[in-house]
Amino acid sequence: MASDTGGVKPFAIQGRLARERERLLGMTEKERAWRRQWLKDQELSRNEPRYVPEYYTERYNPIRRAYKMPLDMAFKPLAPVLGAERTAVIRWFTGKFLMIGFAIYATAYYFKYNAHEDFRCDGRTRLDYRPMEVETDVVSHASGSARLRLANTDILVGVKTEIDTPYPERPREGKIEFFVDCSANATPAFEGRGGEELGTEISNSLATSYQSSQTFDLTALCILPGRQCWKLYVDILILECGGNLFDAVSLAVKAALHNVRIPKVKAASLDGGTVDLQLSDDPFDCYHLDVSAAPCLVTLCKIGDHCVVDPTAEEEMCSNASVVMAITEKSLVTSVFKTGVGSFHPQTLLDILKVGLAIGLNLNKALKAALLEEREQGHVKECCGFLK
Amino acid sequence: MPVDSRRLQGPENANSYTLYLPNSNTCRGLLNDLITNDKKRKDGRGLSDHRRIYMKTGVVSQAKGSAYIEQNNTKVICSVFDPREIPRKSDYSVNGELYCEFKFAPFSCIKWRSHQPDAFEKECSLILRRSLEPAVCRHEFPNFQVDVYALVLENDGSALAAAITCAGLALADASVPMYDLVVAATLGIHGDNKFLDPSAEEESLCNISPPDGRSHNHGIITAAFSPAHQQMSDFAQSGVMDIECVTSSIEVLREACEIIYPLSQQCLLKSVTKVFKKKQTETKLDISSDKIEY
Repeated sequence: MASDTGGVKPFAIQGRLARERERLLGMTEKERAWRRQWLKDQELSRNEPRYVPEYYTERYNPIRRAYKMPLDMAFKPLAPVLGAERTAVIRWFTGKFLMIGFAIYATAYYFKYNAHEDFRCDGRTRLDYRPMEVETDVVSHASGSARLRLANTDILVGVKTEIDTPYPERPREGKIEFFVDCSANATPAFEGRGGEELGTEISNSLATSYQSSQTFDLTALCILPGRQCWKLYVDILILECGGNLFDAVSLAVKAALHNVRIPKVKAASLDGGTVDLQLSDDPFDCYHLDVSAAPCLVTLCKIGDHCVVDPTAEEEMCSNASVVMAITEKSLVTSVFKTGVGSFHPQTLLDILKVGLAIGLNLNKALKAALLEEREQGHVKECCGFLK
Repeated sequence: MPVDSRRLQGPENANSYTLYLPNSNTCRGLLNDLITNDKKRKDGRGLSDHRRIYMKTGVVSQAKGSAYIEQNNTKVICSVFDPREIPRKSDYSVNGELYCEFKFAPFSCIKWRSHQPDAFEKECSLILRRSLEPAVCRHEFPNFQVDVYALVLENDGSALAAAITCAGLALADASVPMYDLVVAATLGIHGDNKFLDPSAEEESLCNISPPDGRSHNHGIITAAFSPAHQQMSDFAQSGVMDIECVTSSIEVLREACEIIYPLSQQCLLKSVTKVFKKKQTETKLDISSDKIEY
C-alpha cells in the first residue's frame, strides 16, 4: 500500500518539547517577555474579528456568495440583538436545515408524482369506461333499434325482420346477419372503400361471437322447421368514431336485439310446396327475444406495460396491439381475437384475458339493468334521442 | 376470379348429400365415431398428438418464395411474390404492407366452394395477415407491399394453422426480412376433450354444443406463435368456453408450436444447403470448362 513515508513508520520530532513546561525550561528573561508578548498578541481585540469585504470575496467564489446572500441578509439585522457568535451558529444551522428539508421534499415529490399512477388523460383509471348513453326503439320502421353513445362514438343499430327459408343443415334455426356500415360521416378515413375492411372485421367478429347456440338461441326464430324462419338483418351504422368501436357496436347490437319485436304467427298452412302464413293484425301482439346470453365485446388495448379498457381514438393510435374478447353474462368466452400489428407474450395474454373477463361481466350487468329499466318505462317513455 | 357462366351450377335448391348421411347431425353419434374408448382418435393418434407434417419450400418456380405443407389430408400451398408498390395509394407509408389472401380451392372441401371469397375466407385472410405482420420487418420495405397467397388444396381440418405455418415458411423462402418464423396450431374443444390439430370431422363436432349435463365448452382456437421471441402473433377463438379452458389452451398451443418450429427450421436449412451445393457444383463446372479451353 502506498504511504507518505515510503513504508517507514512516522515518529514525532517534537521530542520533549511537546509539553509546555519543557518548552519553558531554560528560557532567558528576554525570551519569556517575547513569549508573553506573543501570547498577548493572540488575544482578539474587542473590534475583532473584522469583516474585510476583499478577504470575503477572495475566500468565496461568486456562486457561493450568491446562494449565501439571502440568508446572510436575513440574519444581518439579528446580529446586534443575538450577538454575532450566536447569530453565526443559527445562520449555519438554518442553512443546513433548509438544504436537508429541500432534499426530503424533493424525494417525496419524486415518489409521489413519478409512481405509475393509474390515471389516463381524461382522468379515468385504466379499467374505466367512459360514460355511455343507450336508448332503444329510436327508429320507427325497424323491428328493433338502439342508439348508443360512448363519449364520442355514436352507433345506431336497426334490426329488420324478414321471412326466409332456413339452412338445410340447420332446419330448426332462424338466421341472423350482421352488416356494419362505416360511413364517411364518421371519419374521412372511411371515404370510398376505406371503411370496408374495418366493417368486415367488426361484422365477422359479431358473427363469430353470436355463432354458438348457447349465446343466441336461433331456434326462437323458427316458424316451420325446414321451411320458414325469421331472418334478422342487423344493420349497424357508425355515425361518429371516437375509438373503441368493437365494444360500442356489440353493446348497441345487444340493446337492439333486446328491443326486437317479432310478430306472432297466428296460423301456418302448408299448401303443396308453398307455405301460407297468417300474421297477427295487432302490431303490439308480438314477442321479444331472449338476449340474456348474448355476449358483449371488450377491447383491451395494450399501451406500454399495461392494458387499458375502452381506448379513445388517440389511445388506439398509441397502441400496437389489442385483444378483443366476447363475454356473456355467465362468464363464458365466445370469441377472442387480436387486432393491430403487434404480438403478445403468452403470459401477457393470460393476464389480459383475466382482466377482460371481470370487465365484461360488469358491462353485461350494467347493460342489462339499463335495458330492463327502459322496458319498464314501456311505451310512455320519454324519447331523448336526436331521431325523434 | 369471375364465375364461369358456362359451368353447370346445378339446381338452386339442391342440398349436399352429406346432410343425409347417418350420424351427420347428432352430437353423441359423432363423438362416439371420432373417439374410441381408450381416448384414441379415428386415425389412431391420441388427443394431444399432432399429425405428421411434411414441408417443402420452393415449389412454385414463378414466385419469389413458396412453400407446401401437408398434414395427412390437409394440403396447403403458399406463394409469396416480389414487393411491389402499394396500388391505389398516394401518400407515403413508413411500413411496408402485407397483402394476404386465404382461399379454399373449389374442390377442397366436402361442399363445393365458390370462386369468390366468402365471409369465412375473408376472415381467414385477415387472421393470416394479423399473424404474419408482427414477424415481418415491415420497415425494411417502406411504401411496398408483399403479396402472400395461400391456397388450400385439400381441407381436412386445421387448414388455417397449416396456411399460417406455410406462409411463414414461404416468406422466409422469399428472403423477406423477418424477426422469426411463424408457426401455428389449432386446438378443437368439445366438452372435456381437447383435440390438438383437429381433422375436418372433429372441427365440425367442435362447432356443435355438447349435449346437456356435461361441460358446455366447445369451440376452436387457432394460435400463431414465434418461438424465438416467445411472441403470440395471433390468437383467434370461436365457440363458447369458460376462461380456464381458454387459458389452459394457450399453454397447450404454445407447446404444440414449439414442436412444429424445428421442422420449419430444418426445412429452410435443407433448401439453403441445396442452393449452396448447386452453386458449388456450378463453380466447379466453370473452372473445369475453363481448363478445357486452356
